[in-house]
Amino acid sequence: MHENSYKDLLHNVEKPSRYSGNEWNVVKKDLEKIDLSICLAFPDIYEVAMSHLGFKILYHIINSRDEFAAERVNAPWTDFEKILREKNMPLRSLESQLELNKFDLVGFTLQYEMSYTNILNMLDLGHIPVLSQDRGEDAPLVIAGGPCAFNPEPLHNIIDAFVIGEGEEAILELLDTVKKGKKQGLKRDELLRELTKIQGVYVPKYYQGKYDENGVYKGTFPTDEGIPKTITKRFIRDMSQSSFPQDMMVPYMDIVHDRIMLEICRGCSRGCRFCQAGMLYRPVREKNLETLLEQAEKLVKSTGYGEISLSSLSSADHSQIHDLAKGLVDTYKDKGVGVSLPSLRVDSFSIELAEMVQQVRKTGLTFAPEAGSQRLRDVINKNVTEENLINAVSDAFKSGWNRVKLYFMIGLPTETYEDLDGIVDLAEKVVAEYKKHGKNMKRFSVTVSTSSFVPKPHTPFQWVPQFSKEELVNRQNYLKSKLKSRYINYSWHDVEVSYLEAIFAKGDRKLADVLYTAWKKGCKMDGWGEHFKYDIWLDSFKELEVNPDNYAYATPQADNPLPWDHISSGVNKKYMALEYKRALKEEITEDCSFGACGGCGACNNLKYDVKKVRRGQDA
Amino acid sequence: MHKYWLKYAKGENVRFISHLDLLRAMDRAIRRAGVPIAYSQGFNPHPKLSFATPLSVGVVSHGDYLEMELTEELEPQDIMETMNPKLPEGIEILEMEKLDGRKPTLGAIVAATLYKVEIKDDLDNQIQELLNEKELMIERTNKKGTKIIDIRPLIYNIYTKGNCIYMLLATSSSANVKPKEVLNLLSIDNPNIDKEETFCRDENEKFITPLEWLKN
Repeated sequence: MHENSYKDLLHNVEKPSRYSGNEWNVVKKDLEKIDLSICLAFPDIYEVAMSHLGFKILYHIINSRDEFAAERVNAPWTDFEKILREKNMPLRSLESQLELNKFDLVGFTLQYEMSYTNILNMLDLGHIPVLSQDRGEDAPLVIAGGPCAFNPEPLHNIIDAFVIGEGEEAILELLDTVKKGKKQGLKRDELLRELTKIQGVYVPKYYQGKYDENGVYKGTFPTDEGIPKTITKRFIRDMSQSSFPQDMMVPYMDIVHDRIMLEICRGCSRGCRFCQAGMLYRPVREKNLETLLEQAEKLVKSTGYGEISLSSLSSADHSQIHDLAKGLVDTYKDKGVGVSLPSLRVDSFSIELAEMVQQVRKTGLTFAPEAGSQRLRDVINKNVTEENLINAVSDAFKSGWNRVKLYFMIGLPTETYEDLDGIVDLAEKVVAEYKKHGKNMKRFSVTVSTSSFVPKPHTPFQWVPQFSKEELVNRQNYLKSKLKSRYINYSWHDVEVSYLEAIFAKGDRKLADVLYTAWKKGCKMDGWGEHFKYDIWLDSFKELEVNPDNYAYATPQADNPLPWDHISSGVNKKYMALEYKRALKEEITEDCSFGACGGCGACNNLKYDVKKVRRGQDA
Repeated sequence: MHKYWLKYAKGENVRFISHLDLLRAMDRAIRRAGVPIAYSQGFNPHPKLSFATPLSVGVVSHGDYLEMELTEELEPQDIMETMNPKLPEGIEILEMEKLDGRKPTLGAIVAATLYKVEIKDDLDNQIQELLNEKELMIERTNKKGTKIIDIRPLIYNIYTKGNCIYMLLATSSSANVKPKEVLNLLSIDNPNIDKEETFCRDENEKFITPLEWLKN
């Protein structure tokens, strides 16, 4: 057992178990006896980190290899950071209480743009130079992966190497390469160069942006022979065969997703045009029923959790979802273990499924129509109808549900005030349905939640300018004034945060300096309303003479190079341009798992056949 | 239904987990171990576990108690042997007994707690002075406001042994004193408190542990 070097400090911080580790199924290795150590760093607080499945998967996969040790570190909340800085104590890992700068590698997960300042802050707190160029031979290699790595440029001078795509296999190849390189006595630069040979690894120092005589961006290219021009993502071919840890860690404190997250499938082929995950994780890959039942059994035994959540981007689309849900409910209903579905699509929703899984605990239902009118739903390719939604809620109310949440986006391309009226109309129709079929008006509520559309790279809407902040506020106010029913609660997102998110989502290398400056001036925890310092961000843009509007409101032409063109998700840029055109024409594109192939290129580029797999055949 | 009382420890490793965290950890360990715990009826079934006293964040305990209800009768020794390997490092069941007949709840009979804190200086004189006081008025603030109470009758004993101070303090729903309140009076600022044992009283008002009380 390691003496907790934070022990005397933790009496005065909020939620000290964020920093004390020792959870069930934690892996503690003798760091003297392994070849390579990596600290997996989540740039947000413990509760968020421990709710993230990918983070846990990588932790256990790396630790399954005897010669490697993976430990964890999270962003300290501001109270604890203050103590660490006052006492000049370095940030340490949860497992061995080792200072971050003593690890061989530190690996960040990039889940959302608003956590970028926390990366800089954690490196600094871990006594690791924030900029790659300042790191000496003894400093850890700083790597990163996750969805935001698909546009790595705003972090090009912070992160030494990015892993693009799914990390299960790539991380082990990377660690093997580092281990071998260290044995051979390779210098940091030589080691980074070695890493470029691994498929899916992007080492930004070997790339440079090119500009023409007018300063117009012409793309990012390798600076050396033998460095790949395009970095194509990694993906797991067979999810049923892929290692899925069954000895998952169980935290003590109440976290966001405190349950078994049984990943049943990866990817989604519905093709919503705003959705980055839907493009990045193509093609869809399912785990088979037998594997899932076996994994569920082991997970329940090993974790002791009382709930199994069937996780994926669109769980109800799994070809064996009914058998799976029934199998699990039958096995566990008398053992105090419930089954839940994190999201339900209105169209594939069957009340039978929802009823089946909620036998133990009947929680609220959540639907995401995304847009208020059929016209706008066609633009975004969200192929659900008002009838689908009304049927679904009506069935749900008849079966005893009292609470419904409806998610929408505002500021979607081509959105008008008539589309906003559609949101109001839908919410009111849901209220009317409850009045017809519901059982207890006192318990009834509809939550309408709107987020502001953020154009994301590698999607058909990557060319779309965001609506101005002023206009987004107008639209939020419009909805506030119209959603008057006492049964409807309306919640919305801060438009300044969505604006900054768009800037960094579509950012290039120039933003790296803005990020550094903003962090230096005190920005961190930007995703937490009370810490978001919009004025400092604006000052930082000004100081570096970078106009943020040029990112959020840009309207690049379809054939112009984009800052992330050298990173490939497998989906062709031409396909995204075509999808954008179809969006403007309000034309829908079928789900390729069930309908015609849309020609996105993912199967072809990655040598896969999604249709075969969906029919339960081998990859 | 079959009721059991358990004596358990919360060690250094889990010092900073909260009372609710501990409850969740127990619940999960019970499920991992496959112990047939009884669940409450209703919308959100809860495992039938109840703690004698809430355990504060930051406090290590060597003698806390809880009541557990099972749907099958099992030997206490077997339950301990199944559960202990399934509990996180630092949480351990030390002893347990099965209840015969009707008994009050654990919470109702608990009367005192013995705490231990490491100290640097010799405090015997200060402790004696404190114990000689007729009353010890302190301020307590809660949601309802601030009130001044006399905690002297709630301090049953204070003594030192080695480099530690031991405090036997009242613990019940009607009369309770926190170890920090006494440490403040003695100007001790070590926040690392150990709970040594929990006591109830026998018919002669003598302090005995809940498991001794059962056997009595």
